Amino acid sequence: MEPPIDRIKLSQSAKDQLIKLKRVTKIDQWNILCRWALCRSLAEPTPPSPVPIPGDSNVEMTWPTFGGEMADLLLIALKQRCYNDGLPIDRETLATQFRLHLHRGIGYLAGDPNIKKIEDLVAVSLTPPRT
Amino acid sequence: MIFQELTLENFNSYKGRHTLNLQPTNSSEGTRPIILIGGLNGGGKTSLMDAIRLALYGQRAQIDRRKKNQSYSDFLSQCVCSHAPADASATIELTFQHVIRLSNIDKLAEIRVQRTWNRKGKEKLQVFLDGWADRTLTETWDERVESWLPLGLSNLFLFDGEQIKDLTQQDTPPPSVTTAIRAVLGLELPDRLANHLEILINQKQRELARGEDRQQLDAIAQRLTQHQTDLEAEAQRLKALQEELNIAETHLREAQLQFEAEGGTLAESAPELDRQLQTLCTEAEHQRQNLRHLAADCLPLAIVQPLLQQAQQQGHLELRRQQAQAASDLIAERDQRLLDLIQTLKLNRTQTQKIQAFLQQETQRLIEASSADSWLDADPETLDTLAHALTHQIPSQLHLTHTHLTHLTHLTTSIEALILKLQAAPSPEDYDRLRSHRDQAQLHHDECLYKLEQSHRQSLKLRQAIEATKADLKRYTDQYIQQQDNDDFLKAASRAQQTLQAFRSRLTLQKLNDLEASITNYFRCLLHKSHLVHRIIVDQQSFSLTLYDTAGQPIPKHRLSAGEKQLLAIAFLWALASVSNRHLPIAIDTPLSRLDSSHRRNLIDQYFPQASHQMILLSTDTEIGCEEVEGLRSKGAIAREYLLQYNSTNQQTKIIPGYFPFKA
Repeated sequence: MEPPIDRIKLSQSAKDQLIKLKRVTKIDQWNILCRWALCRSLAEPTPPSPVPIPGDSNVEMTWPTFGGEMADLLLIALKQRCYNDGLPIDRETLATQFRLHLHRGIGYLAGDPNIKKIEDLVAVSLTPPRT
Repeated sequence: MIFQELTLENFNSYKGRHTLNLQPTNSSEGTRPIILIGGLNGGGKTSLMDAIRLALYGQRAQIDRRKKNQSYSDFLSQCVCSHAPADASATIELTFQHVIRLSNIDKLAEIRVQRTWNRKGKEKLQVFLDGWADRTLTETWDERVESWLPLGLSNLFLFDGEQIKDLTQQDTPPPSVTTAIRAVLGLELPDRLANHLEILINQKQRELARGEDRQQLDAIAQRLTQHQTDLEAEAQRLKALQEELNIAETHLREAQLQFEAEGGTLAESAPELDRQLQTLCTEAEHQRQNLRHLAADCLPLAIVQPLLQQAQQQGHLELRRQQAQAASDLIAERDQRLLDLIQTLKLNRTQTQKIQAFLQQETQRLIEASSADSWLDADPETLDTLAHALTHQIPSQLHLTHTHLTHLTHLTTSIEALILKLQAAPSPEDYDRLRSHRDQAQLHHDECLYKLEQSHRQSLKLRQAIEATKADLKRYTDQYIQQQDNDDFLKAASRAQQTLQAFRSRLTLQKLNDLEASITNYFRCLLHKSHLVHRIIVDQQSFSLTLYDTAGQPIPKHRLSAGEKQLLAIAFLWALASVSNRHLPIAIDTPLSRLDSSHRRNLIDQYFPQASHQMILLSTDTEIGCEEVEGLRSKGAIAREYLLQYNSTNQQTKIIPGYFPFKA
């Protein structure tokens, strides 16, 4: 499937938050944490606030790097979410929504006081926040 | 003592058996003590005297005719009558009455002592008591005679008148007389006692001289005391140690309690706990690594499952629509061909219209369906992947995660508990302090135990030693007591010796006073110059006599005539006999030689009738001549008279009654 975005560049605050998460979970790959962050935000019922997100950090990755084997599945989930939110499914919107969800998810995970260890992170998958 | 009978058989010149009745007789005026035996020189008078001595004293008899160094058996064989047959045996028999004590009863007994021997000199002694041979008396004869008529005294009672002048001629009396005087004065008894005491003391001292035993005993006693002291000290030490041990135990318990209270035990197991913790942490880390792997996989998709499920439906929908669109031309062609077929079939109108309507409706639906928005735009492979993820990957990974998480939770709990424990453990410094404290207490306690054990053993050893020593002591106790007795004895003995000494000197003094008085009295009685001597002093040590005249001046001995000296000797003997308090017969051989007629008269008048209850006089015809015999006879003092008739041709003596036949 056609990726909505070729290169992903994170904001500085997101990078800082990710560094914290890296420390907490001892997962040293940005992309894995970013996948979790995306999923975390996508599962949140409320749509993300459309705020401008600067790509002012030096953390940058390609879409295949980001998605890995599940890149298509992540895209499908993003499309479904956009559809559910009543947004048009075009490349522009998807790219914007992707950035919004990614950064919001990073914020959620980093800001979650319960996440102190890797097990706390994976526990998120067992009890996905539901409306 | 009274001599009753003297029998001689084959003794010296008396061939055959001769019996002399020596018994004094009683008359109306009193006793007649004198037995007068006359005989010329060489007539056998001295033999009679010797016979009496021999009968009484046997081997010990002091007989002048026995040569010095002549053996007794030789002397005896010489005494057998030379005219008797070769195998004849000689016999001397003396019968006398004496008061003896039998079974605590004093009785007057008749004792006959008989000595028989042959020329070989083998003597046989037999003593008869009241006519019966008495073995006990025979065996103890010497001792008996010594108690009745001591040998030392025999010279004072059985004496030769010619020889007694020796008594006074010398300054000091001869030793035999001195002994006799001592005996008479009763000094012999303390002397003998002193002697016996000396012997006893020597014996005991010899016993004591075996002082090794004594020393050993002392050593044992000392050892025992030492042991007992040691044991006491040990017991006290034991007690002290016991107390110390108790204190040590308390300390140890306290240290142990403190050790436990402050987590010493935990600290002790800290390394083990640490190891466990390490293991757990490793395990937890392993689990976390697993979780990270899972996290890197499709686990995050589990969060968006609802989205994915919705997308799956949408995907299928869109796929069908695409298929429908793709197939719509084919369907339209087929519909047309179907309609054509129906027209050919010539069905009625209504039926055909119905089919047409259906087909149009279907086509319409297809068109409507495909006209819907197709926004997902997922290809079939992606949908397959999605389906696979939803049905298999995600649930299985969730399950795995769940398992790992559970496990991890348990691990975490354990780890936390362990950490809690470890936190409770004291710091190493504290732990070291506690441990050293406890170890010291333990060490002290062990030391106390060891000391106590040692002390116990020591005590045991001491007790055994004491037992052994006591046994030793028991063994030596008898000896000890014996020795103490000996000690006491020695002390008492020395006291007794002193007492004896004092007794002896006092006795001597008293007896000598009596003796002096008696001698003076008798001497003056016998002497016709009665004023010559005023007082006679007997020397306490040498028993020599010193005479003093009325002026108190000593009279030198050489100023006395021979006759006076003999009288003095007789007076001395008389006094001794009377002082000795022994009622013994007196036998005098040649009593009146060297005396003038005046002195003879005094002697005959004063001495012979009064000196003793039995007076045996052996006289020649010149000493007691016609006048003297008549005098004695007229006084009624003579009990019996005998004459020894010696026949020079056959050299034999015959005893016939009656005195010398004096011509009227």
